[in-house]
Amino acid sequence: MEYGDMSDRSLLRAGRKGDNVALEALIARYQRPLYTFLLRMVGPSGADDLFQETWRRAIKAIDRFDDRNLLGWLFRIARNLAVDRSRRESRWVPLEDGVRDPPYRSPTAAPDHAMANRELEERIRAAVAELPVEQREVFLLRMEGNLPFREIASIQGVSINTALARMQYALQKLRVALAEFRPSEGGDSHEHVS
Amino acid sequence: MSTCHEMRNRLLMKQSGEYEEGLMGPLAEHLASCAECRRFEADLAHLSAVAPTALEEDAPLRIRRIEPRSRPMPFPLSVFWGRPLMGTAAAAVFLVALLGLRAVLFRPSLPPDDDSSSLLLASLPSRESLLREWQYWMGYGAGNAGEHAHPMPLIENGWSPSEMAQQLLIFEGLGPDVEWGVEEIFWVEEPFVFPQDARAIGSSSQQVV
Repeated sequence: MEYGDMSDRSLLRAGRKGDNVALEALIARYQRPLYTFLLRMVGPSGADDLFQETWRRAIKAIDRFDDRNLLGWLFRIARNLAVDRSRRESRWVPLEDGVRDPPYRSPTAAPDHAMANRELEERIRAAVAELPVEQREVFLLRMEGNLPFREIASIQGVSINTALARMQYALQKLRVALAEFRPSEGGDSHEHVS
Repeated sequence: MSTCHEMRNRLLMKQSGEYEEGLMGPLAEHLASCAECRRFEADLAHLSAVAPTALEEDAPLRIRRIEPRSRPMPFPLSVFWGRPLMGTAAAAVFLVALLGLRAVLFRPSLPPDDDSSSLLLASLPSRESLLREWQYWMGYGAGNAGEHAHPMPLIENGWSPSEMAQQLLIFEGLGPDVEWGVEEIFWVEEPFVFPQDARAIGSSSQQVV
């Protein structure tokens, strides 16, 4: 069986027995959401180090992992590292610093549509960067990690109602920022005209 | 408003797959009558579709190195394993170091000291030297050389030698009380006659005028 087809649990089991290729496959599977989360939380200067450190700690403690939700566990480690870093530096890196060039997208859509999409994505990145830390955390854990709110609440050490309220506040701000890009009632075209 | 807040919570949980099917009825009823919550639902769906792509970044670096589960042999063993001569030399060095360590750790203990303060013990030689210097200046250096030197009483006014040394330190500006004056240091009485022009005493580096 290819490593890519193996379940997290199988890869973990192989990793515990010393199969480094299995661990690498596991890392490849989750590196993108994890790195995105760290990048949006601490900026590029800290994201690389915390990304490495997250995996280092995860692999070191792999024997203690209880096989429930690997991504949630990884996000928990990453989030704690980000909080520690922010305490050390007494600040969160402004996210303008964390915004990189948007990733390359294949030009399958029409030029106008692609331009509007690019503008929308830039607006989303900027709006997320403006969110308070707790709200940004909930939003990223939900959108990037696809974690359920119970897991997010557990990671943040708050009640599920608090996590939901933070998400609502985050969405409220994002909706205001993105109002002009709201899809029209009958289709996916944007109201925004640039 | 609180109903809308609650219903939006339910929408969020529905979107995350945590919403219980049994509670769908009230939510559907609310959505049918609340345009703002319908718009919230639409925006949530739009953002859920767009945001992950917009925010996503590729990790720029591969993981530097995965720590191997089976750790390599420790340095000394890996270097000397299979090289008997070097191994023997290393063992000899280790044995010598061990013997040296043993000599340090298990040397005969010193007799117990009356003064428990190690700091005081460490400073004792300097006090002794100060006392000797005191004797020299009082008995010899100030003009009373040789056999005519006046025998120097070490205890006067109830002071111990260490207290005298302390006063000397104070006199030299090393003690806590810099106001301590010359007159108070020079408590020596007759028959010792101190030269009239001597106004200061101290270490041998000081000039007596």
